[in-house]
Amino acid sequence: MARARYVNGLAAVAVEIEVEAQRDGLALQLEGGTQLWPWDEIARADDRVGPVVLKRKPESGARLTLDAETAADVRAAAPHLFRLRSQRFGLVIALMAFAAVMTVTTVYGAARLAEPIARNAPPDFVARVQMIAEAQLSYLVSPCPSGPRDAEGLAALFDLTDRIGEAAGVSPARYDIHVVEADFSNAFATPGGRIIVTDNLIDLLDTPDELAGVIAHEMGHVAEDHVMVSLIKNMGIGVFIDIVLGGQGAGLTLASFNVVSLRHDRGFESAADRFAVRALDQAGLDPGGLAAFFRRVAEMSGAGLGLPELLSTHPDPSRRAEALAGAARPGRPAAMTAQDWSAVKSMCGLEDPAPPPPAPFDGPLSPGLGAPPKP
Amino acid sequence: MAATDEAEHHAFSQGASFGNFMPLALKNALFTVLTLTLYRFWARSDVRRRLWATTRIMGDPLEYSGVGAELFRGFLISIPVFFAPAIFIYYVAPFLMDPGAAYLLGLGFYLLAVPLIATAFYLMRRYQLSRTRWRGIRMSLAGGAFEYAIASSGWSMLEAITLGWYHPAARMRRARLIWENTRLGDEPFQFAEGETDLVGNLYPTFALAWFGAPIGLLAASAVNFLGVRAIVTYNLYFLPPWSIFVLAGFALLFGLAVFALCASWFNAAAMNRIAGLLTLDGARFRLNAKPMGLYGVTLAGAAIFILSLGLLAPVAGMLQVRYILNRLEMIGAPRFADIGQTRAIAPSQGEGLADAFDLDFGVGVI
Ligand SMILES: [Zn+2]
Repeated sequence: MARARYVNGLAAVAVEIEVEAQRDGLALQLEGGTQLWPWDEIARADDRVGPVVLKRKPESGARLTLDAETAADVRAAAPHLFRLRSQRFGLVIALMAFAAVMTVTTVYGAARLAEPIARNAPPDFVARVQMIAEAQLSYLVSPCPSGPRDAEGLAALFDLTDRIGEAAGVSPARYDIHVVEADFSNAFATPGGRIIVTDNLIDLLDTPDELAGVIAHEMGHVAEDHVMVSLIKNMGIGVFIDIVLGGQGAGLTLASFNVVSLRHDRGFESAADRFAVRALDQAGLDPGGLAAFFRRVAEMSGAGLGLPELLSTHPDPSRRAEALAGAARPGRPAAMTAQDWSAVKSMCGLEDPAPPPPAPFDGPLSPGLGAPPKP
Repeated sequence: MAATDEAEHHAFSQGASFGNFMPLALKNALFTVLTLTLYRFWARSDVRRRLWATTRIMGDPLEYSGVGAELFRGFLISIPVFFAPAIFIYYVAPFLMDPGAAYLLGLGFYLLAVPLIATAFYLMRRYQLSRTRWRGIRMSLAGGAFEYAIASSGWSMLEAITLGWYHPAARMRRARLIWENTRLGDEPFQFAEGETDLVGNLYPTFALAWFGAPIGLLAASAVNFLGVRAIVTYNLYFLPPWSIFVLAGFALLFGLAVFALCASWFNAAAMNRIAGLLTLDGARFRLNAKPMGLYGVTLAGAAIFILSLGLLAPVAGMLQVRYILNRLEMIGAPRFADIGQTRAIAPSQGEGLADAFDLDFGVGVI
């Protein structure tokens, strides 16, 4: 005979009783006589951190709390009640699989659905997204201070952009180009087709061909609606995360809707690169400028002169320089005259570090009549 | 009769420790990360079971019988009921509709969320109590979640109109509505029986808490200002640009700590008063929470929460629960022989929306 603490499930009163572990069950000596709890109707009701508590199925609220000695008796008769509890590895694996399937479905579904949604988006929708994008941008970039050569620089920039757009068959109604002041070097396209180049990037560019490469690349993002597609895709994934986290991912969804730090996937970046090469080639320009620029960016970041902002939206410059390696057409004319390039380099309050020498003659020159001697 | 042994004090004891709680908390954290947080429902149930099992009154532990699957089912139900409309209103409508109309829709949904959160809170409480037993007797919460939501929303509105000054009264009224509907078996609790003054003298301590908000804000601004000035004065420009965010975060935490300090007298007083107004068949309760003790476990919990990136939030909850229950006692005893099982029907699925609003900080403390 061993002792246990018993509640009958009918009143909140505990009594000390005698119990005996028998072959077919646990015998309880109650006031009204002996009650047998068959082993297969007994289950644990404790959390394995205190005394053993037993309950009987079906649930009636009756409980039996065993002291250590009694627990040892019961353990000998019914070891299955003392087996380790399930660690739920099966459940965890199932949940991991479920989460993985949901994630893949969402990412894949978002990627597949984003394109048709973006391409068929009503103009109103695009206009609203553009409005939100402009509002976000206004926190990070500011209008350029005016300078004496603004008009000249802008004209050169528009001219170059139009030549690229025309060669690629993009209607001028779909794009425009802006230079802005910012603390970072970057170029990006907004949902409404605005190409934005920061002053720091212009400062960083070495040749007009590099500028043409950057513009053509962004033109690719515009022509192929990459921005809208990426935004819609990110939103879909953000909403999914939001639901999985039980509403606590709201910040993530909103953060995903960020035009400036928008990362296109690698596929879109290479597509824009290929578009750029084609457009530049058709415009009679040297597509080598883009590769040259990426090579330089890769070298600079390799040397610790990192350009994290630029890399964060346009990743992996050395690989992309490699992919573009065969595209160069050396010998083609520069994308801009030295004069225009100098004007562009002087935009947005920048100081052109190497202005071309002033032209010695004013009059019209034809190459056949002898160009002025080069210094 | 309960009245005859009034002198008898029965202390609650909460025996959770790092030894019997930490392994569970760590396992839960690991599984939660591995399953992209989906394991959190099972984690929460296990934490509750452990906290209940280590809580004893008159030698007998509480028992929690809720299971993760019930909470998961509640979560699945809340997706079409709550998340789908919320996503439409906040993510889709602004792009499809006139901005003004979308804004109004969002505002309307937000206003609707106040009673919705109150409902969710009540349902969560009902679920938790229905899965709680002591000496085999099941607890329950009677009353309607909808009525609670209406009343609670009204008090919320009064709190907003009075710039928070109605809060002590609102807190006591909410406590009364909940406790008067709480039962151990078929025995209801009474709250402030025969007492017309619910608030008592909570207002002096509440004033300190109320002014703690601007004081905390001031403290945060001061820390931020001193930090920025140090950067400028000592030319600390080698610091990475994001260090100003770290500084701002630190200043914010400092401000919150100052506010929590100012609020701890009120919190302790309000909890002590709620316990003091509670009776069960003539047995009274007494809580002796101390402002500094409460503040200590709050700070320790916050530190654990931040350092573990929220993954060990239940440990923070455990510290709080343990502190309070170990200072709680029952004076006198109800006629236990007369307390039988409740006939209230237990809800079949878990908390649903409460998960969305994170009403119990992942701890499962009622
Ligand atoms: Zn790009």
